[in-house]
Amino acid sequence: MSRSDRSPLTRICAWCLLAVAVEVLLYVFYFAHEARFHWFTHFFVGASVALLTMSAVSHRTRRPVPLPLLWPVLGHIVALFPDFLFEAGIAHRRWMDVFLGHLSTHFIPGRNWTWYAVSLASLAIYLSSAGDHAPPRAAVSTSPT
Amino acid sequence: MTLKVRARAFPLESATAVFVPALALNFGWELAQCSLYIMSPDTGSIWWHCLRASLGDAVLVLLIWALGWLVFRGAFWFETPGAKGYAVMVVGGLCLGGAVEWLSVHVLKRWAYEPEMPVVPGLNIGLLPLLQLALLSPLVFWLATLPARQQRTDAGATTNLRDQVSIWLLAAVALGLPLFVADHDRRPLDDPDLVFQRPGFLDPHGAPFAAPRVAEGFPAPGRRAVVFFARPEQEAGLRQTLSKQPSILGNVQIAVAVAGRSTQEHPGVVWIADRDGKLAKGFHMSKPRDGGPPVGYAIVDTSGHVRYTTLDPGVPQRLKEVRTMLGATP
Repeated sequence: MSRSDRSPLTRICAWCLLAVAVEVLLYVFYFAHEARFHWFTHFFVGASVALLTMSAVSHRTRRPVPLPLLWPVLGHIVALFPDFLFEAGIAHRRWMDVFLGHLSTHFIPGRNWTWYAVSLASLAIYLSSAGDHAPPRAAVSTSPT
Repeated sequence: MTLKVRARAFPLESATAVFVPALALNFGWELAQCSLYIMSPDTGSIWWHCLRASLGDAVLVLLIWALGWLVFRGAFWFETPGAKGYAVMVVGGLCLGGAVEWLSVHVLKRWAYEPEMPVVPGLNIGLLPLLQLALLSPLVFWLATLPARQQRTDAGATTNLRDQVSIWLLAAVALGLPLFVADHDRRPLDDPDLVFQRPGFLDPHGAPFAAPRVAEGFPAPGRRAVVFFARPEQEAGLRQTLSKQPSILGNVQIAVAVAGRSTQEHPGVVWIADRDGKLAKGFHMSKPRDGGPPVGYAIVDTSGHVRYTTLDPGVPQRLKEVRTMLGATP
C-alpha cells in the first residue's frame, strides 16, 4: 500500500499508537526505578505547556493543530530530559529547571494533584480553542460520490 | 435561538445543571485529598464519607450560583460570565470554602489534618480545601453550560462539543485513576512526602549543615562520606551489596548506622549501632511513613557538611544512584 493510499484515519491511529507506546515505555522505565511520582509530575507539566502552546497555535492559525497527541509527548520528553542525564550519571543541578521546571515543579502545594488539575484545565482550553476552529461534522463526513 | 431557549428555561434547570457536575468534580477532589485528613474511627467507609462531603460542596456551589443570580439578576449568569462572573465564582468559592473549613476545623472540630497537608498561615486551615471551591467552581459552571451550548447552532452546523467533553472526561479518568492508585500505593518505609525521596540534587532541604560525628575520624576533613541508615532486617543485604561492589562508591568514607543491634561488619566500613536514633536525627533524616527509624543515606562533602539526605528502602539495589550523587558532591 502506497503512502497516498492510507486513509487519514489510519495515519491518525498510527500516530496515536506511537504516542501511547512512548508514554507506556516511559512509565515502565520510571516504574522500574520506583519513581512513578516523577513520571506524573513531568507528564502533567509537559502536557500542560504543550496544550497551552497548542491553544495559542490553534487560535492563531484558526485550525486545530496537526498530530495533537504528539505535542504532549514532546512536552513530557523535554520536561523529563534531566532524568535521562541522571541515568547517565549526571546528577540534577538547579539550572536544569530550564527543562520546564524539572526540579521546582515537584514542590508545588498539592503536588501531582495540582498539576493534574492544571493539565485538565489546559486540555479544556485547547479543546475549546480547537473546537472553535474545527470543521463542522457535516463537512468532514464522507459524502457519497 | 439561544435567547428563546433561555426564555423558556426554568431556574431549577439551571440549578440542576450546576449541581450535577459540582457533585462529580468535588467527589473526585474529596477522594484525592482524603488521605491528608485525620478522621474519627467512626467515620465509616471512605467512599461514603467523600460522597457526603461532596454533597456539601455541591450545595456550596449552588450558593455561589445563587449569589451570582443576585448580582447579575439572571439564573443563567454563568453562561457568559465575563470577568465579574469569574470573580464571583473564585472569590465566592474562597470565602465560602474557607469559612466552612475554618468552622469545621476550629469550632465544630469535625476533622484535623495529617502533617502532609499544607496549611494556610493565619487561618490555620488546609490549603487544598481552601482552594477547592475556588478552582472547581469555574470548571463546574463551564460544564453546566454544555447542554445549552450543545443546542446552539452555527450557521446550521452542529458543534463538536460532545466530542470535546468526551475527550476531556476520558483524559480526566485515564490520568486520574493511575495517579490515584500510585498515590495510595506507598510503602511503609517511603518518605511521607515523596518529593523529598531521592530528589537527585544537592541541598533539597535547604542550606548545608555540619555533619555530626559518626566515629573517630569520621567524617574526615577533605574526604567525602556516605552514611547508610538501615534497620536490622536490611543490614545483611546492604553488607552483601557492598561486598559485591567494593569499588562502586570510589574513595569515600562509608558508614552504616543500624537502628538496633548491629551484627554485621565489613572491611573499610564503619559499622555502628544507632539504637536511640540519635545519629539519624543529627543527620536530619526524615521519618518514614510507618514512623520507625529511617532507611536511606546521607552524603557529606569534603568540608564536613551534609549535602544530601534521602530515604531509600531499595538502596542496596541502587548504589549506582549513590555514586551519581557522590559525583556531584564537592
